[in-house]
Amino acid sequence: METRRHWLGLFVSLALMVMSLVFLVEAFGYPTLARRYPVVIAAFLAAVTFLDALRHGLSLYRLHRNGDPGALTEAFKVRNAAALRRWAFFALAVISYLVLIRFVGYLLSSLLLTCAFPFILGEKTRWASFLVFASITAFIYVVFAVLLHVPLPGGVWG
Amino acid sequence: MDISYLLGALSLQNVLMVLLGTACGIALGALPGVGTILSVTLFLPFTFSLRPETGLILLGGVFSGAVYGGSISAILVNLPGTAANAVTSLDGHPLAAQGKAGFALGISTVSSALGGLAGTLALIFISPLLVNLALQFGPREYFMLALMGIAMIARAAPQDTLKGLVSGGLGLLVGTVGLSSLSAYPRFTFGLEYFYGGIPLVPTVIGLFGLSEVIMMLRLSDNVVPTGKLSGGVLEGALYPFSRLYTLIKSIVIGIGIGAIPGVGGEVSNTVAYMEAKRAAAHPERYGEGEPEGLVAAESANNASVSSSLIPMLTLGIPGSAVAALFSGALLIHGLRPGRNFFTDNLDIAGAFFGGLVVANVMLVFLGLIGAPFWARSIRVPKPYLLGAITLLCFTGAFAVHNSFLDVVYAFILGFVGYLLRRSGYSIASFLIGLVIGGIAEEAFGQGMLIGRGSPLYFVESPWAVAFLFVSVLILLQPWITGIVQSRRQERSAND
Repeated sequence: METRRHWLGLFVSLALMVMSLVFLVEAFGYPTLARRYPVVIAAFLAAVTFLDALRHGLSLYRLHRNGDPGALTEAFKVRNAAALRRWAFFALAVISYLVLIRFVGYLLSSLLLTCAFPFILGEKTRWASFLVFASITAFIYVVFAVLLHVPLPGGVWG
Repeated sequence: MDISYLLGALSLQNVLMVLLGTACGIALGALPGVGTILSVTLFLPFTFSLRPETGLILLGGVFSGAVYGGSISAILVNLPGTAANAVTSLDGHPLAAQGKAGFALGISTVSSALGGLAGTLALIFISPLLVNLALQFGPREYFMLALMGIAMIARAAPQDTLKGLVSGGLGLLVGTVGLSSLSAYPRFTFGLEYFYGGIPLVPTVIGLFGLSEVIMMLRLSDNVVPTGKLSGGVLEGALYPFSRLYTLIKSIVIGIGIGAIPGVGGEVSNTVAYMEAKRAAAHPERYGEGEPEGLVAAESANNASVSSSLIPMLTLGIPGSAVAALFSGALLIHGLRPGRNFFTDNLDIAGAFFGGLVVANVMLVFLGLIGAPFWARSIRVPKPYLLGAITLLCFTGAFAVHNSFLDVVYAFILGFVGYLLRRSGYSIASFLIGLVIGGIAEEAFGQGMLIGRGSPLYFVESPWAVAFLFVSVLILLQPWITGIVQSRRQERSAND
C-alpha cells in the first residue's frame, strides 16, 4: 500500500514538475509585464514538485533497500479491477450522454445516464429505481429550466 | 452596520431561499461522503440567475445546514457527514447507542444554532473593524497578505506542508492562464480559445470537488447503506445546552477565533473546543462514552466557525478555506469583488447576507428539531441514487454557466484530475484557494512593481507588509522550529 502511494506520488509530482517547466519556458516568450509573475510562480512550483518527487523517490529506494521485494515492480499491478471496471463504465456512460444529449435532448439523455448507475455499480435495476431516477431528472430539469430559466438542450426536437 | 441592511434578508424570496438552502444543506451534510464543500459546490450554479444577495443567502443556508447536518450521521451511525463533525461522533454515537439518539440530536441542533448565531454576530461586528484596517493597505500589504494566506493553507493541508505548497502553487500557476490582468496579453492558452477568458471557476470547482467525489465513491465497493434509529428526548436535549452555559460560551469563542484564521476552520475548532471542555470537566473520564457536554462543545464551536471563516474573505478578499473560496466565486460571478470595497460599495448586499445567516441559524432550530425523524431516514439514500443525482447536478450546473458542452467536458476531465491529485495526497482545497488568491496576488505584485519602479525592496518598506511576511515564514518553518524545541527539551530532561 505504501509502495503504491509513493509510486503514485512520484508520477504525479513528476507530471506537475514537467507542467511547471513547460509553463516556465512558455512564459519567457511573453512581454515583461505579462511574464514576471508567472515566471516566479512556475519556478517556485518546479522547485517544490522536484522536492516532492525526490522525497517519493528516496522513500521507494529505502523500501527497496529494506527488503520490500515489490518496491520497484508492484506499482504496475492492477489491484482493484472492480474499480477500474466501474470507472470505465462511468466514462462510457458520460461520453454516451454527451453524444446523445444533442440528439434526444436533456430529459431523455439524463434519464438514461442516471439509470446507468445501478449497472455501473453492479446492482440489479428495479422498476422502482426507474421511477426514482425519473423523479431526480425531472426535479433537476424543473429547477434549472423552469425556475432558473437556463435553456437546456432540446435535441433534434428543439 | 445599520440594522436596516440586515432586514434586507426578510423579503419573501430571501426567506424561501434560506429555508431551501438550510434544509438541503442539512440533508446533504447528513450524507456520509458528501460534505460541506460538495454541498456548497452543487448549489453554486443555482446562484447565477438569482440576485447577488439572494444567491449568497442560499449558499449561506446550505453552508450552515451542511455543517450541522454532518452531526446527524455522526450521532446515528458513527459516520461523520463532514470532517468538521468527526469529534461529534466521540460522544454523540455512544449516546445514540444508549438509546438517547433524540437527546443527542436535540443538543446538537440547539448548540449548532447558538454557535452559528454567535459566529454571525461576530461577523457583523468584527468585519467593519477589519475593513477600516484594510482601507490602509496598499499593493505591498495585499501581496504579503496573499502570501500569508498561501502559507496558512499550505500548513493546513491534510498531508504535509510540501504537498500543501505544491497544491497552492499549482492553483497560483493555473490562475495565470488567460489574459493578463495588467497587460491583457494572452498567457498559457496554447492556442485554445476556451482558455482566453481564464480558467472557468465554476466548472473547475464542479469537476475537482463534485465529479472527483463521484469517482472516489465509484472506487469503493461498499453499497451497504448504514441504518440509524431515532429515539425520543429531542426536547430534553434541546434545553440541555442552557444548563452548560460556561462550556457553551467558551466553545463558541474558540470556534469564532479559530474559524477566522485562514486555513484552519471547523475541523480544528471543534477539536480544540472539545479538548478544552474535557480538560476543564469535573469528570473527564466520561468524555468519549456519551458525555452530553462534549457534544455541546463540539457542535457549538463547529457552527460558530462557519460565519467567522468568511471574515478574511469578505473583509480582506483572502479566502481562508475552500468554502470561502466558493463564496468568493459566487461574488465574482455577479461582478462583485470580495474585500474592503465589498463593504463600502455594496453594504446592502453584505447586510442582507448577514441577515440571511441569522435567519438560517434560527431556522436550523426548527428544521433540526421538527425534521429530526426525516433527517434520520435521509442518511439511508442508496448509492446509485446519490451518485446519479450528484453527477447529473454537476453536469447540469457546469452546462448552465455558459450554455456550453465544453464546460461539461472540461469538468468531467477535471474530475479525474482531481481524483488523481487527492489520491496522491494533494489538497484540492489548497489548489482552489491558490486559484482565487492568485488574481489578488498578481495584481498586487504588478502594481507594487510599477510603484516601486521594478524594485522588490518596495514590498518590504511597510511595517504591515514585513509583519505579514514574517508570519508567513514563521508558519512555514513552524514544524521544524517545534521539532528543534521539542528535541532540546527531551535532551534537557534526559540530562536531568
